[in-house]
Amino acid sequence: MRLPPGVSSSDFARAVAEFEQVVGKQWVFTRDEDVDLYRDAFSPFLHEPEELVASAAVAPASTEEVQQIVRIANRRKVPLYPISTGKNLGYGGSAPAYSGSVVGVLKRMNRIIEVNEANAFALVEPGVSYFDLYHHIQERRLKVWIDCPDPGWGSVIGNALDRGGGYTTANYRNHFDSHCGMEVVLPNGELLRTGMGAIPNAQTWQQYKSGCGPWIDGIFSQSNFGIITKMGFWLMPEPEAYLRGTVSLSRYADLGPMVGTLNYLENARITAGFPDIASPLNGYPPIGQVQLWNETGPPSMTDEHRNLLGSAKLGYSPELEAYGIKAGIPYWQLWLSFHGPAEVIEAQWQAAQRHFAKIAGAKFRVVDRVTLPIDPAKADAYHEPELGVPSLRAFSIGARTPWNPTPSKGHMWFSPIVPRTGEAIIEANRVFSEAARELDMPLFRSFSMPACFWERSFIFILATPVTEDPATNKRYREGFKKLIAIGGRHGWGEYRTAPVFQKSVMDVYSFNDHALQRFHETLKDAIDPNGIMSPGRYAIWPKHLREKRS
Amino acid sequence: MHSGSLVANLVSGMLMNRRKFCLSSLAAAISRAAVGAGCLPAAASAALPAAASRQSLRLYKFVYDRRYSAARAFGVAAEQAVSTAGIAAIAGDITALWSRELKPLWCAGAGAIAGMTTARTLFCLEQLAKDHWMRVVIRVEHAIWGKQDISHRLTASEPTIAQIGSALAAGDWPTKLPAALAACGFAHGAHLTRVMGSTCRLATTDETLVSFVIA
Repeated sequence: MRLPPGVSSSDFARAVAEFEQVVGKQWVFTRDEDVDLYRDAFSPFLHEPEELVASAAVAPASTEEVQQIVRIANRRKVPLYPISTGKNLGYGGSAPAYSGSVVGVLKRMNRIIEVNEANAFALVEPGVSYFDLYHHIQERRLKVWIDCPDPGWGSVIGNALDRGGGYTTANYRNHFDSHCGMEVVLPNGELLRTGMGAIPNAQTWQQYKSGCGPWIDGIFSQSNFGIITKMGFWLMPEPEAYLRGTVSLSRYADLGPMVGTLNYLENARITAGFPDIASPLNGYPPIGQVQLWNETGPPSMTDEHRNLLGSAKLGYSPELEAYGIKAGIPYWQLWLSFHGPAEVIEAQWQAAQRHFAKIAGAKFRVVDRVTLPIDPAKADAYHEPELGVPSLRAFSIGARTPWNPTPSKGHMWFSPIVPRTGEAIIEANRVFSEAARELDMPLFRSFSMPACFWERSFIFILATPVTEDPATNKRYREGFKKLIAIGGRHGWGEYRTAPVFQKSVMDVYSFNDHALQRFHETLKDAIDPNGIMSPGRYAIWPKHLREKRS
Repeated sequence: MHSGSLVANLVSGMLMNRRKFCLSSLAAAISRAAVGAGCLPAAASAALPAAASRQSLRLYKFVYDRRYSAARAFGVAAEQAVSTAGIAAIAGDITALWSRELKPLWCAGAGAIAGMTTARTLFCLEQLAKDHWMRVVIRVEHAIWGKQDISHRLTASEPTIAQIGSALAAGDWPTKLPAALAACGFAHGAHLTRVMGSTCRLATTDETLVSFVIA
């Protein structure tokens, strides 16, 4: 049996026995073959002894059991690492931030407590996946949509707490922002409800977010201050129709005006669907087409085009631009989508075209006009999550194909947030491509485009591969940390990262001599004095481990 | 599969050992309506005695990726194998198969499967199986190297390795595998890995295919 650091085998055996009394012997896992299920499938420490691993796992079925587990962990000083379904792949998976922690598996807590169609919200437990919630809604023919990430196998709560995003409309794509109310087991085992849920017999727990007084929900995301056992989410009323169109632009200099126009239209809610920016001339697809490209191959490219790309700098050369104009290949292409009554979304599309028409040469095309609801069996003709349908097709992206002959063993997502401007896209490409070349990192080797999951900012999401070769993985890990620091010097920070990089990322958030980090630690010491809750998650270490690590 | 209309009685199945149930019965399905929303948690494998002897493995279905010739040969042979299991052809994505068939069964503690797919497809199935405390109990990676050769990297319990190994040694190994997998018992405990060479290349792709059993 593996042991948590600093815990004797006798103490750990007592803790395990007490866990078993709470949840039943069959729900406490200590054999390697069982505990290994909670390794990070994409660990950047593949085949290395530094891999973060659990000592055991325990799977409670109720909030009351979670409270008892937490109290035992406190008594026995056993570190716990709660996970919902453990699908945080590319950002650490289900492995603990502190090796030897006991993984608290919440997937047995899989009740969908309420889906309210009339006011479009849901209340769920952490073991509920996007598929679960989607199927629940479909079976009952409720007229609400979920917003899901790609793939949709993860926990609704887990993804929100890791601040994941989806693909429908701006009100719902930010999964943490679209939550409303939490139930939390604190590190001392006490139960807390946030927002209106703090009122006994609350009538609007999932309908008004902040309650009264300090709104503390944010401190329970990407942190280690409690275990969320229930969480509410606002859902999207099922739209009547969907329209998707493209705006194509032919000049490199059109990038800035395109982004500026998009910002106005999105912030004014003239367009609210997931904006997807591609550069056909640079061979960069829209996110919504990536899986299709992977399945059928990218568009063919002439030798002349390929040669011009090879000599372009930051995605540009006058010759490349001239070639694109001659060949009718857009420099930039913005995919816009609209959800709502047909007459409304037609008007929104018309207004969007009017604004983009101010950019000389802008061309427009309607890709899809769909009456909803769509037959779920036909959803695979689209990028399913944009229609609120969860899918697993995203995993075809890493498969071996003629155009991807050496698939990786996993990946680490490098995902900095940068300003929503055309200049920032080019500047981030300049900074990161120069650094990546110097560090011999396989990122930004060609002109890369950011994504628009969040309003008002861009996010680059680039996969750093995990390979079979430990030396290569080590080089990539070190390079990854340097890229984080370089981004920080330019005022850019990651939105989410795997435990191995969490210190590097949080070091970037250093305003006023790391005041934010000190505040996190002050909270940690007050809320979790024994430091049993997810030690080290997002570089928030309990005092006894902090001092050892400094 | 999600209409709530299927299904039989298995509420009591939640109380029995999930793996025993999975291995000993394929009849099971459960009225999801009877247990409320979401999956029914199944009893965990840890309830098995540590030194459990090999148990018979009843497969629900053989899954194969129809895009690859070796997998198609596997699928044709699976249909003819002496087994009560059905077959399912996919083209990489397992969303439909999983959500319509496997998920309800796995929620109920049933639905052991065997198959030959790409490694990515198996990765998805493996991740989903973990949600139900199921795992890959037999894994054979068929890696192509050189121009004609395949190496089979077989990970399973020791008795299973011997049993599958003879099928892999055959020239037409994709057609031999379904019966061998269906005949395999399941032995709890440590897995071993053995690499076997083969000069017979039936696949016409550079994709590394993987054969497996999930239970």
